[in-house]
Amino acid sequence: MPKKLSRNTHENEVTDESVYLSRRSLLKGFGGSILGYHSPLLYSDKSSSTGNEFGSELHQMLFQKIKSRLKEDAIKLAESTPFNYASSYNNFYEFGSGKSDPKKNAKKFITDPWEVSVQGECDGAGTYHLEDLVRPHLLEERIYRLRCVEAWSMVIPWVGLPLLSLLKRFKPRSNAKYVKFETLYDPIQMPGQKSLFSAIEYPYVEALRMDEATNELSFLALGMYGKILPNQNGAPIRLVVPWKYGFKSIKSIVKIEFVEERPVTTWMKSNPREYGFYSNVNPSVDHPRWSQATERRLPSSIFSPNIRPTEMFNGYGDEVAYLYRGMDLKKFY
Amino acid sequence: MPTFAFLSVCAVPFLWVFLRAICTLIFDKNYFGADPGMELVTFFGQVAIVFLFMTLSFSHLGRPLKTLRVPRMRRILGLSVFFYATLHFASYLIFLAGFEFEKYYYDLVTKNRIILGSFAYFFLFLLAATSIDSVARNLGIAWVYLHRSVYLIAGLVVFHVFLSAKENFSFSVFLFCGCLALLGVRLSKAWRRSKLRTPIFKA
Ligand code: HEM
Repeated sequence: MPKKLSRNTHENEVTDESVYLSRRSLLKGFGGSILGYHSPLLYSDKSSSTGNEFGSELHQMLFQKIKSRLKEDAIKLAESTPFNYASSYNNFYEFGSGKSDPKKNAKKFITDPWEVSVQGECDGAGTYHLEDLVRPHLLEERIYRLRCVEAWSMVIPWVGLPLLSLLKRFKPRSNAKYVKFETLYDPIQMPGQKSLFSAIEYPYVEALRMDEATNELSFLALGMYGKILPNQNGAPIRLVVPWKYGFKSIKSIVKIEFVEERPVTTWMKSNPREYGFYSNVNPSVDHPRWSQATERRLPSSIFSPNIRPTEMFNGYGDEVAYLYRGMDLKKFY
Repeated sequence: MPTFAFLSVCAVPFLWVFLRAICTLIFDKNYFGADPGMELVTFFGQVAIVFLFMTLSFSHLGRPLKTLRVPRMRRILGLSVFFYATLHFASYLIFLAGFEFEKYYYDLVTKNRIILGSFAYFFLFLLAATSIDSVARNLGIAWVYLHRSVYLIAGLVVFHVFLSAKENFSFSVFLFCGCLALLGVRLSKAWRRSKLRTPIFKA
C-alpha cells in the first residue's frame, strides 16, 4: 500500500521543533514579511522562484537546512567554478538543447509541491512529499568535480545528503540489485520534452548498481553554493555521482525504484553504441565523438583554453575503483 | 554594391568576435560564456555554413538582379566561407585540441565527423587557392569542374554537422533540406538548359 502523507496536517505536527523554532526566528528576522512576497534571499537566483507567490514551506525548510549545513572549508570553496557559470551553462535537455536554454526556460518551473514516488523491491514503497524525505537529515556540503561527456568540467559545491542515508529508509530488499531514477515528465513545463527532432525519449531514466548507489560518494543535492538548487540545475532534488559522466546525475527526480534487472537508461536507449550503463569517467575509453583524454576546466578564457588531462574515475579512484575490480572497463563503458 | 562595402558586410561576424576579444582584454571580463573555446568553434562553423549556403544560392539570385556583379561577389562570398572555415578549424586546434597536432591526428583517424570536416576543408582550400583570375584562366574547363565540388563540400559539411549533433537534430535537418532545395534548383536548371540545347545539336 503506498503511503500518502497528507499535506494538510497542522504544521507543528509535521515540522520538528528545531526547524519550527528556527523558522519563527527567521520570520522575525525578516520582520515577518517573508510570506508576503518571495524574498531574494530564499532563492539562489532570480530564476529559481517557483511561480508560487510566496516562499513556500518546502523552500523555507530547505533554506533553513541548507543554512545549517555541515560546511566545507572556505579555501576549498573558493576554488570552485563561479556560481554564475555553474548556473547558466549546463545540459538539461528537458528545457532545451542549448547550454543557456535551461536557465532561460526553467524560470517558471514549479518545484513545490514536489512528490517522490518510491517503488519496487523495498518495504518502504510509497509516495512522499519532499519535505518528509528531507526532514530527518542534516545536510552537508560536498565539493565535487563534474565531468561532462562533452569534455568540459566544473567544480561545484553541492549541498544535500548521501544517497545511502535516504535509500536506507526505504528498506530495500536483498533482491534489489539496481536503483532506477526518473525525472519529471511534464511537456507543458518542460518544452524540450516535445521537441520534434530530439533523439532521446522522455521521461529521462538513469540507474545505478546497488553498490554504486550506496557508495559514500553518491549524493543527492538539494542545493549548491549554499543556496537552494536553481531550477536549471535540477531542482528540487537531483543525483550527483562524481566519478561518472554528468548525464548519470539525473535531475528533478520524481521516482526512485528498486529493481532486480538492469534498467535501460535514456542515453543507452538512444544510442547503445555510444553510451553504456556504467559511463564511468575514463580517459582511455573514447566516446565516438569526443576524445576523453583531456577536458576543458570551465570557465576558460579565449586567452587560456585551460585544458587538463582527465583522470580515471574523475580522480575518485580511491573511493570507487573497488566497485569495478575484475571488470573490463573497455567493454563495460 | 561596391566591392569594399560587400567585403565589410562579410567581415561583420569576424569583427563581432574581434570586438569581444578586445573588450575581454581591456575590461578583464569574459564575453564568451563559460566555454569560449566551444563557443568560437560553433560560431565560426555556423557562420561558415551560412556563407556556404549564401554562395550556393547567389547564382540563382543573381540573374534577376542584373545590377549585381555576380561573379565577383560570389567569389567574395566563397572566400568568406574559406575564411570562416579556417577560423573554425583554428579554434578547434587551439581550444579543443590544445594546439597538439597529435590530438588532431588522433581525432582524424578515430572520428568520422572530423574526417568529413577535414575533407570539406581540404576542398575549400583548393577552391580558394584556384580562385585568382590568372589561375582560373589557366585551368580553363577544369576550373569549372573543380568548382562544382562546392556541392560536394556542402554535402560533406551537412554530414559533418549531423554527426556533431548530440541530442537535437533540427539544425542538421534544416541544413539537409536547404541542401536538397539548392541542388534541386541547380539540377532543374541544368535539365531545362539541356532540353533547350538538344534541337541545336540535331540541326
Ligand atoms: C578542418 C576540419 C574541421 C574540423 C576539425 C571541424 C571540427 C568541428 C567540431 C569539433 C565541431 C563540433 C563542435 C561540437 O562538438 O558541438 C564542428 C561543428 C561544426 N562544424 Fe566543423 N570542423 C571542420 C570543418 C568544417 C567546415 C569546412 C565547415 C563549414 C564550412 C564546418 C562547419 C561546422 C558546423 C556548422 C558545425 C556545427 C556547429 C553546431 O553545433 O551548430 N566545419 N566542427
